[in-house]
Amino acid sequence: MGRGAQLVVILGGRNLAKSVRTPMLITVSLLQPIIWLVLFSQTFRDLANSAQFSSRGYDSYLEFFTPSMIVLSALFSALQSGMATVTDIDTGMMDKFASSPIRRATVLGGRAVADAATMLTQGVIVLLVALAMGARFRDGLPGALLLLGLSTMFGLVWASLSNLIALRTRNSELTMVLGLFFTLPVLFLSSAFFPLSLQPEWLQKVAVANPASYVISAGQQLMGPGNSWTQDARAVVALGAAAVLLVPAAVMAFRRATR
Amino acid sequence: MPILMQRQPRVSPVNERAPAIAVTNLTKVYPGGRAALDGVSFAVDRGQIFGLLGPNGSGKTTTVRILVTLLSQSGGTATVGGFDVSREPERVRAVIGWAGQSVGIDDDLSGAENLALHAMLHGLAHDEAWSRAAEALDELSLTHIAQQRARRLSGGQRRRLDLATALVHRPAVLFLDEPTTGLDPQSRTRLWERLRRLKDEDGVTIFLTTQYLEEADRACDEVAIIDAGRLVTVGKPTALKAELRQGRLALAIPDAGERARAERLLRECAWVGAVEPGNPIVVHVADAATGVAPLVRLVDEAGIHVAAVEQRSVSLDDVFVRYTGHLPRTEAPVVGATSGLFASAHGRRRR
Repeated sequence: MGRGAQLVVILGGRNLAKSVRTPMLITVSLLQPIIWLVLFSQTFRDLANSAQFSSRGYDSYLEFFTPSMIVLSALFSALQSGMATVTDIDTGMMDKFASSPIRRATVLGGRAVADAATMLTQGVIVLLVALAMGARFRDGLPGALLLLGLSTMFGLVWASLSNLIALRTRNSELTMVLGLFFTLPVLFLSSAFFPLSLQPEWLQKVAVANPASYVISAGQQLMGPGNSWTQDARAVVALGAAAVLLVPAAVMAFRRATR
Repeated sequence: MPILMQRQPRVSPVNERAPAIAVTNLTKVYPGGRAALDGVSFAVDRGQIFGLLGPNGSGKTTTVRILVTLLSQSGGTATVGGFDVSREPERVRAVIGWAGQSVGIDDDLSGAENLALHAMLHGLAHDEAWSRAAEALDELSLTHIAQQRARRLSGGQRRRLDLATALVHRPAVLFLDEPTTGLDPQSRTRLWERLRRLKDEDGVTIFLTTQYLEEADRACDEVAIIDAGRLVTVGKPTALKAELRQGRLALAIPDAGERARAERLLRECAWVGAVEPGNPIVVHVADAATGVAPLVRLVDEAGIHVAAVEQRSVSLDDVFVRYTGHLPRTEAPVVGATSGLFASAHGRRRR
């Protein structure tokens, strides 16, 4: 293993250790999607009986809704990523990193590795809860892995937005508030709660520019009718486009902040 | 490949011929136009303890942050271990250890984990990093907190742990920004002993800033005095004190009213230098031996009763007053600790 990869593992391990040692944080960010999963799947249970819904291949609203909550848990983890960066700035750790003989990219890599591990773990837990509630995958384990992969990729792209805000504001409250300010609309202006075809026309137009729509639609396809590579490809392209916008901006903000 | 086993050097490699630190005409102007450094130049020989003295806001921390590659200068050059801080920051980082004015440790990690992490960031392999961490804890009398999360440590313990992070990888050049602030007297003494050993046994160059002149007087091979971003003098403490021909005389005046009157009188007097108020009043005169008689006459003629006159020995404080016109600690007191140097008012960072 090269020195860069070693440092990514060391820093990633350190970031994960911090999360594990603050169990409240993980629990709360995990509880939110699970509570929503339980509540909404009960509230909208009867929706699945409508012809529009069953014709799309969903057995229940729960199946339709589970990918949305897996994505939501990844987005919440993404918001915490920026908060962790502010903490590193406040505690002087970022200065220590910046005055150490390590490449800046390893600090970012360590952050991304820890974020991805958290997002995957949380996704698995939400998924297990959904399975326990009766949700089924058409495509079995590969489908589940594909869904977790897509939501984690989305989460990482979103983490770069959260870190961008964190590095520009250097304020944890602002990072959380601004993060939520962007996160909730992205979720609500997508197919997360209802199929787009059931939503007003203006919203359908907005959803076209929303990466969450593509990721969640691909996930819903996986849970309900079965995998569609076209949908998956669209999701990856949408995430790529969002990444092109956000990742370089975050990396630049990081470089400005640490050198 | 030579087969001979070479003794592992105790400290990281530096450019052998260059001075440990060389600063030439360094300037720093923060956004908004505040000039924090205004043409500062000095050099530090290898294996020296060098003290940068000055009041709050004089430019000490700005200097350190430029030297440890956390801040870019506006003009001038600086090298550490022979490497240019702006052109070869990676090489500078490989030879330095740094403990800032505010502590930089991870609250969620234990004392030993904090140190091992730093050692690994400086390229030490896993096992060596952990054994160095144990050594560093021992050196700073922190073995008992090895397994404790840093969050639960006292202020003094956190400070010492932070100092240990600067030492754990055995840097060739060590930067300490006000290292003794927040330490109890016993820890302070132990730190100075440790720094002297680092210098004597391992040849480490130590650059530190302090507001405590008496400490610098005892521990530093050379000191520089900085005031309002300008270097006012550099030299060995003994030389600086010897250079100071002037002496200090302490006038004990029992009556408070008379004392206030005497203070006004002395301030107006052209041949009296700085006046340190208090009881006794301490005045700076060109020559302590010949200064006593005219001084007593001056006060006596004003009808002020002087109980005693005493000659005071020259300290770095006097050097400081001589060059800056004020005492280092008559400046505004430190208002709490800044929350991370990152957050403190150090303006634009490197691009």
